[in-house]
Amino acid sequence: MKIIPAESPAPPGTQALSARAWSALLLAFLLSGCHAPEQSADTDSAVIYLVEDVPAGLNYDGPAASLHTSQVGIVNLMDPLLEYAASPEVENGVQTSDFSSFEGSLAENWVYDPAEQSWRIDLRKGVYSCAGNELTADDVLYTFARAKSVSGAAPVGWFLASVASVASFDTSVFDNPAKRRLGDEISKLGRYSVKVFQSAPNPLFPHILTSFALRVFDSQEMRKHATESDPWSHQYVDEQTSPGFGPYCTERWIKGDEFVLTANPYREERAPSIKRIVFKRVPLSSNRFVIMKMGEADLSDRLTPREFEALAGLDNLKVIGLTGNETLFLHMNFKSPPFDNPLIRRAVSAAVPYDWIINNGYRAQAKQWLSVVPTRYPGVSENFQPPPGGLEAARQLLSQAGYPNGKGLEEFQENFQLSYVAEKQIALGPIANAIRAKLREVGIPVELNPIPLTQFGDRTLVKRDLPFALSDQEKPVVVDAGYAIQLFFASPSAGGVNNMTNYHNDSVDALWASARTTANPSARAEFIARALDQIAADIAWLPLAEFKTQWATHTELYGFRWYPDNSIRFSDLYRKEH
Amino acid sequence: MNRAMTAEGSSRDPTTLTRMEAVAIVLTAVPILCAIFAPVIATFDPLAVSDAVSQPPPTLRELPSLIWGVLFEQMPAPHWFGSDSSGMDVFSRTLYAARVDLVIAFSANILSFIVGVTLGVVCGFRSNLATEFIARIADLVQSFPVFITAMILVALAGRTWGNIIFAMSLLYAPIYLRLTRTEALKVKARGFIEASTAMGNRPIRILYLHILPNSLGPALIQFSVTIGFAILLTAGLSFVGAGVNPPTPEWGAMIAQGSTQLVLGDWWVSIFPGIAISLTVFGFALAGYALERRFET
Repeated sequence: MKIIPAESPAPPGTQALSARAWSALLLAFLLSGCHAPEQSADTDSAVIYLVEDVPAGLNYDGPAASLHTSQVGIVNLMDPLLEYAASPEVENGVQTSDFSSFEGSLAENWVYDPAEQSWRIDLRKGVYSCAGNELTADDVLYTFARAKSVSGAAPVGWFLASVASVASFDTSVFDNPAKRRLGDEISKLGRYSVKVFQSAPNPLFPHILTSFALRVFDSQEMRKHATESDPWSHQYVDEQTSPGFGPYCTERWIKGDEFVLTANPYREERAPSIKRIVFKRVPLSSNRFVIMKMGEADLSDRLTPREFEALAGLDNLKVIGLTGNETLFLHMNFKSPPFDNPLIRRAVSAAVPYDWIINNGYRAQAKQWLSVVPTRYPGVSENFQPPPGGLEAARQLLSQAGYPNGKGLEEFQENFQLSYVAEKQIALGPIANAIRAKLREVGIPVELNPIPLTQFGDRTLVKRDLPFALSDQEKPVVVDAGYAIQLFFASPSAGGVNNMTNYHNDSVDALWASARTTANPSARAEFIARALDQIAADIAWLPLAEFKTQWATHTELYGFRWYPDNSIRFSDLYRKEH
Repeated sequence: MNRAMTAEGSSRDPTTLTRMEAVAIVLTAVPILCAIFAPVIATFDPLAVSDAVSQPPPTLRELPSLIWGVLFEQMPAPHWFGSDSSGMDVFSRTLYAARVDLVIAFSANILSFIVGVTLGVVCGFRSNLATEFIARIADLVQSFPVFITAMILVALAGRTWGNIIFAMSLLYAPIYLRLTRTEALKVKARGFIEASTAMGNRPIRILYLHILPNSLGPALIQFSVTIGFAILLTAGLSFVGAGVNPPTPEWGAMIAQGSTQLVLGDWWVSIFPGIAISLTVFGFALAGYALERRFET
């Protein structure tokens, strides 16, 4: 736990600047009496944020990296090198991003040199961590060296660097410990400049720098907490704080109860308007709903569609959100018969009650998903259509498969257990029920099987033996369809990572391999589009719905922006009288 | 049944029912009849999903005209108890849930009764290392908290009816074992057992004809009380997600589902199964008490 002293010493060389900053603040305060300010003068107020759980860890290479609140913690404590540029478009109270252009966060300039396949990155000067250490090239080198060490339980940093073809970030690190040391693939050009070499031209590089992983550590602070058995300070990051160059610092972290952030006292440029964020753990969405309704908190998320609907009509609250990258799909494992039969997959896709799911399951806060990658992502078209004809079509497909009215499918009863995360029973239970009812109508002997989240994760991501499941867990955090293909649909032999359904198609693997190595952007887009069409035709996943990422918040809170990790950057927020 | 007891006689006619007994009979008979005749009484398939999601039940003012319409004007039946978040009919599910809860409770109780009473009577009649061991094992099982142990057993074995019944039988058998053993020890010391032994009867005959019938009373009274506990345990397991799999209609699971919707004003999803379970458990507890009173007199 990092306690910020009440009067933190100013970083070296910043005293004079601080005095000027105070004068400017005073002037701004006096002027605010003359001009109605855009933002409220109440800049040091706290925001109380109700969450399912406080961060279980803050290590993006650690076991908690995939958990939502852990990612919220990480992105508010650590800044990335780049961010997607803000789009002028605001959808239902949330600003969107322009995924085709970037803006510097910790980086000031970034230039690609095609001749030597390298990126030169110049860092901002005068950026300080919560410990008062200035950001330098050593911090970037430390960050990549830590990622390459693959010393964490889930080496996400290494994976993202590898996806972006950062030179020598390949699978050899797992076989040869000597390869885990950072070489000259990332070199220091000066105190504030680094150069990163790629093994092949790969446009994903700037994208991965925006993600919640590969955010820059304060190397001095990290080294202070390194031990012989834990040279990369994983324990410190998972139990105390994640020292970075972000807008906030950890004030208090009581796992299972509370997580409190305070504004980084050394941050002068881009200082957050909201000075203190209190994450309160309230696991049940119905309890979060009641607390929000009573006006005892400022912000909450992960409520059920009905709860959002009920809060939207209240006086001091608003519900904001957009269809981002959260999706619902049916997982049918190609290694679990009869799901290896394309006719059975098509029969299931014909019988699923899409309209019921959208209108009743999500109370119209979702739309039918007609792709296998979030349709908000650039270059993604709606290329999936379930067979027309509904239940009748499903019956015909079953007959063609040799199971008229489902006769003979009892043999696979075990594989027709529709699993879903038991902790999401309130949201997913009714949808699973509706799917079960319709599939049984055509003779598919489905039963429901809610299982704990940990078991669900283990069986989908590690063992990959779950035959049939309803999942709303997966999202590609890098905004690129190619990344999604590699993550979910490419065969392990072709570099696939989380191919949960054991999908394999040689042509998809070949198209992805071509897309990955081509330097021509339009050829890459063409390869990816063809791969996506094939994946949709094979029903590698059965896409059901794209549901809104939403927040219930006080009407005075503004500045929300959507990022692909669905985490709020509290430094974006400000209060304004409604 | 117990000759000694009946020989003592009673001041009132044993064939007449007290008011308490009558209430107990009604309260236990209603859920049993609902369970048996659920397919006839239910107005919807209890597993049918519909578009009528989270519909409230009709108001008291609407009820007379709705009942008239359904009975005499061929109107489709409304959701008498409202519908849940899947659009399933709460009335039909409450009726069908009686089947699940009572079947599990009765099966587990009958199984534990047979095992417990058999072992209890043997342990009371014969005192040796094996019977002492059985009695101590029963003590050990009883020292574990029932709910937690049941939850662990079901979690380990899987959420099937058979496993729930087995887990509950394992936990309730020691109750019957201890009650019957205590009673058998008392009966064994009585003169007619000594006489029977002196007459050269074989131990198995003495056990079957004399010890067993005279040791059953407390276990029979306990049976009714344990049925109530078993219903509560079944519902409790489902409430915490360790009972029967959804969407099986089961009172505890329905209460759990409805509890999260109370804050949205959907009181009907959990209140009706809650009333059903309360009255049923109360009925069986009352029946146990009435039986005890009757045996005492």
